[in-house]
Amino acid sequence: MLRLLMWKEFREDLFSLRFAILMIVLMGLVGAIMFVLTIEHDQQVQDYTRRVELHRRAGPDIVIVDRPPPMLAILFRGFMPMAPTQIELSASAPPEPRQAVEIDSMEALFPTIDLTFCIGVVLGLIALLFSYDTITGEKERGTLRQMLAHALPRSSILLGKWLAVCGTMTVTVLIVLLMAVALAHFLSNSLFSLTRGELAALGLIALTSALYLSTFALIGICISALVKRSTTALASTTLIWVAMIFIWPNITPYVAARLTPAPTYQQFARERNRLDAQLTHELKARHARGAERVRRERMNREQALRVFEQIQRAWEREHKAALTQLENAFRARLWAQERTGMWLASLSPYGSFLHAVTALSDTGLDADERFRKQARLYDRQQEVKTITSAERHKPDLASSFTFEATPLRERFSAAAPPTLILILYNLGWLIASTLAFRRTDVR
Amino acid sequence: MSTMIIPRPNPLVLLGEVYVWPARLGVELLDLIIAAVRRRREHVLAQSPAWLIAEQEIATNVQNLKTPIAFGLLLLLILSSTFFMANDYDQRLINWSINRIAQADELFSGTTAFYQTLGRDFMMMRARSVRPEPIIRRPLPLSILAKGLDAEMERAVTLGGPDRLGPIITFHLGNPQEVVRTKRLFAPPDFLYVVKIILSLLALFFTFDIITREKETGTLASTLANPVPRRSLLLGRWLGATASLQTTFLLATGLGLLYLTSVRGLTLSGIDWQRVGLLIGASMLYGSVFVTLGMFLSAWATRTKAAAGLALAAWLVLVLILPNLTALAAQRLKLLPTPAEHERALLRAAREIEDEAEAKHLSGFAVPGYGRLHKEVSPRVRAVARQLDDTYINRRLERDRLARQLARLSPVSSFVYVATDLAGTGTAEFEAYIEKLRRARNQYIELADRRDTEISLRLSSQEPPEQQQARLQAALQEFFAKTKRLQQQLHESLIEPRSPRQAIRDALPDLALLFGWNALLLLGAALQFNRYDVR
Repeated sequence: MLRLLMWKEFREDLFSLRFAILMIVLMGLVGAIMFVLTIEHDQQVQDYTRRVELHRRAGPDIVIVDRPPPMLAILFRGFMPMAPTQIELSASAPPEPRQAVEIDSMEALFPTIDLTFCIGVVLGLIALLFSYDTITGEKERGTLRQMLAHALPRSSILLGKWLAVCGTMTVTVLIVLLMAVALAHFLSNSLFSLTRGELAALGLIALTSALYLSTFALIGICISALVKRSTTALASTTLIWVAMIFIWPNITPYVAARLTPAPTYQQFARERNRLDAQLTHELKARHARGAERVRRERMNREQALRVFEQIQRAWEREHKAALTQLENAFRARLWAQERTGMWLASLSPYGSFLHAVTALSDTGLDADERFRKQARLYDRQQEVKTITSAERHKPDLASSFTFEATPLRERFSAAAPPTLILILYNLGWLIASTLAFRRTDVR
Repeated sequence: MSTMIIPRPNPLVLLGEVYVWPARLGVELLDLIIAAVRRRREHVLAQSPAWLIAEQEIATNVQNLKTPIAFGLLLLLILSSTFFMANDYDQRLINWSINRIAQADELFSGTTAFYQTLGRDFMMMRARSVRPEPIIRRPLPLSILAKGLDAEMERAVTLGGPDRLGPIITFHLGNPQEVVRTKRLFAPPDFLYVVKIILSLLALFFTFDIITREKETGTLASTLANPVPRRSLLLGRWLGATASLQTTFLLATGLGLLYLTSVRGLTLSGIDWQRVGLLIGASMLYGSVFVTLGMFLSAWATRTKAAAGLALAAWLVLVLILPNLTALAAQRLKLLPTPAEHERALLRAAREIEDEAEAKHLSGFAVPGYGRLHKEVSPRVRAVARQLDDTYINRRLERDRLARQLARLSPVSSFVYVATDLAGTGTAEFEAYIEKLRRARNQYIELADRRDTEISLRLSSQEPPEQQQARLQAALQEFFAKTKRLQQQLHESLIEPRSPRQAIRDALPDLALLFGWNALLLLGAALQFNRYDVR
């Protein structure tokens, strides 16, 4: 009986006028998004190759390492537009990330939209539109009484409706993703091809999206069972949708700033510069002492050079260690605030959806941290090499750095907690809507 | 002799009289006012039934909890928005003031290497010291209400080229001051955002069922059976919905501003208050567009459910999709080179000139990352780079202008532009900002050119080398002093925002456009309602 109900609803949804209109709107939207995102991605890939080429010829005491754009950033931009694309390594200072700086006022006022927006915002609303009148609509038409007059348990009516909306939304998500991948494949010049691992990640993204949309379907059904009229149901579900997508996630970084305060950039920079000045004075003094020693012991030129070289090397190591320590302390506090913000945002389904999708597509905060970590590691390895061989940061050394994307298993484990939150949300709303529907007055 | 007993007045009664008398006067005055209002009301009502309908609409909105819910929601959001954005502003102000204080710190500014004499040899001491932080722009107080591009313009600006660009001089924008990445992922929840998303949605809630509801209950037909013209009915409803929405909005905003000025101690100058007033006016105009839109859609649909769906779809398209899509379209229509490509073009142009000089056997020296540099051609390299830089910037600004033109398709973008322009954080301010940077860069190039010619003149003169050296040192010292002054001047001019009058003038075309939207939609609703089937 449940299957019959579900199929009926599912078919009704799929062949309804609103589904047809939705498909047309979505195709236009996805087409427009992919049209621009492929260009952006191509430019980034090209930029990356040019930067690598340029940075191989970088100066004698600076090495610059670059991060290629992640493949799935073409669909889900995530944090990538604000993540550094290159990091400068030097002998005496900690790695310094540089961001691509553009003179761009458009991006700040109207950020570029991607598939996260398409699925998270637009399809979230559509899921509500498919579900807000599931019960009130039947009640208003009077069919709910007739259904319950048969030996149909209320739970199977509810389950049938829920599964039908889920099915419809899953079909929509799959169409959107397929279309986006196809467009990316045809429009992009940079040989957009997905490895098996990325395909698996995409599959999981589709699953997460289905879970996320199912949450909204359940919210719609629950409200529909609680209120008397369809219009009230629509108004209240829309307000919930707005609160979950446009209010809570936007406020969370500021709440996090209250909960886990971190110093501002200039506070850190001032402390760093003071330390740097102090250490540079120290270097000057050491050199003076070295000169004194050279004069006293009447060294020849070779010996003197060696003395100064030793002073310089030792100082550079100390300087780097001191600055790194300061910077790590600052970054740890920032990272704590960012993590708090991310987890607070994950309290709303949209936040956890975003969290899971950026983790799966390797465009999240973790991906950025990974790049920084790899650069630090590379820096350390270089240092081990340079101190013994004295061939510090030769130009061709820069080419040996290749960024390794996050392996799939790590992405999955990073995406697991937010997905779990989504599942919990589903469970909670399912229980709530069962309880609400049990008490629904069907007259 | 009988004595007349004069009753002594009870002091308490006297005291009571003193207090009661003004109260009585007040009550009488109130009565007078109420009577006047009542008479006025009856007079007005006799002229047109629209006022009565408007009153009724206001009462309905209070009864069916639309107004209280809207007020509660707006108040909550505006208060939390001002709270968080004021915190953010305070944080940015601290950031700025520390930067200001740090300018006086004793650092090894500009010195990356110095030498120590050791007999006849020079001994080099390498200290790649961290560069001092350049001065940053002070955040604007009105950015609490509309953050806009304020954070973009807060970046540290330096003149000159990074080391590997040799003699090329451009201006460089540093990393954003906001280092918390999550803050940059979601749009800041400022007043502008609350109005853009929430006020528009609430406006639609007030009106999406304004005609269909009456039709479904059957009162529409009976109302129109009376001698009430359709336009009065429509106008009355519109006035009622507008009044319900705008008073709740004004009340919530007033409380938000009260919080900002009293609790947070925000002080604004007179002209800034004018800006705030205009910003609130623009928000009301924007809300009114959606009130009218809802009514138009309601006059179009036959059932409330259909009207609700239509209104929601229209909101989604107008508020969320269209503004971003027009930005995408502008990006696609005016394809621009990326910053790295631009840098490459600069280097290539410079390389060509340097290679030419190399072929002529001019003296030069190697600069890492740049190649061989020839002092004689440096002015030419700078001139060519300046031209390339200018075309690059111009193309970007042109794209922004195109985007602004395209964005006028949606009232939402018009509103965003108006609000940010009024707050001094908009695109007009940004263009002026870029113009300042460009002017400073040109002055810097002039200075560098003069330095180069002076050096070559002095080196060629027939003087003993010691004197030459001394004069060269003096010329360089003078150059450094001048460039330092130039940087200082640039930063002072950057901190100075455009005049508020200019900001108001920038906002006018889009304000007019919002008016136009209102008029157009109202006309459309009137036309549609005239042929509405009331059965």
